[in-house]
Amino acid sequence: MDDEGLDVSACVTAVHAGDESAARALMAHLQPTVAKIVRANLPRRTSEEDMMQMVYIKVFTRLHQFSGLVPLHHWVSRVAVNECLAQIAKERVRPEVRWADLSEQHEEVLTALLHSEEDLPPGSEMASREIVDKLLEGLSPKDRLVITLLHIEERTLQEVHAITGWNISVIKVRAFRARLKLKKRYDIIIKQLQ
Amino acid sequence: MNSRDRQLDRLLKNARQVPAAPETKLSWAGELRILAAWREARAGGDTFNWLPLLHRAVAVACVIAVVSAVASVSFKPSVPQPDELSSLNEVVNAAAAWL
Repeated sequence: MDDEGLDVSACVTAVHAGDESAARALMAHLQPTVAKIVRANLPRRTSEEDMMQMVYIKVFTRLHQFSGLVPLHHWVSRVAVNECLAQIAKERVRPEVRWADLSEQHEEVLTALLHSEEDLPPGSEMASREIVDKLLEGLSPKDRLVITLLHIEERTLQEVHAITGWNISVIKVRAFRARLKLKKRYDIIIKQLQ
Repeated sequence: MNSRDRQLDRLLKNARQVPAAPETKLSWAGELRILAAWREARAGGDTFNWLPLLHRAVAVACVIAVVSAVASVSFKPSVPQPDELSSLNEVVNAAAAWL
């Protein structure tokens, strides 16, 4: 029995037996986990709800593979991550960042980064996030995921391991390389600004 | 850490401040689609799954083909064998003479 009052193992057993109300309860229980992962790894041409549906379908059709050795949330996280990565890979879009794509607010943020060591002005958070999203769009799905988890969501290496199933040294190496690629893309837009 | 790294860190730090958007809820129609797909998969799962068996059969056939090819090369007789047709012809001729 977990803290939300749902007996997960009983629920999984009921879902195995074909109980639809248990399936609905399980969906409601998993919703925060799935929604968070899908939002952080959403392919460009797929809506959030469509992606969540794809993840749930995968979860239910593969539930027989859930051994119970890891918590259900971890197993579902891995399924969700893999499904999002596969969908991103299918779309195969790696747009280059062009200065023309950036708005006035983006320009202000980049100029502030370039010419000042102080914190960015309040109200610039959304513009910063959009710039980061544009930079991330050019990375491979796995690189994008590792940067999002470590640098945006500030997860620990252990948490990233639980979500992705990658071992710690793989995460470290991937994070290092992804960061270099992110910096390279950042350099490109800064050079266009200068 | 060079200045580009510091700039990138400041950018990421600022991007983190964006409050999380409200969680997207699955629509009723979405939930129905998931359950329908699940039901369909369950129904499909009840029938015998031939695919793994087919994979194994193909693998075994490949192994047999390779073993046969190796055996036919390895055990090739050094003495030339008489032509099968001429042997057959001799048998037919002998039979005709006897009749």
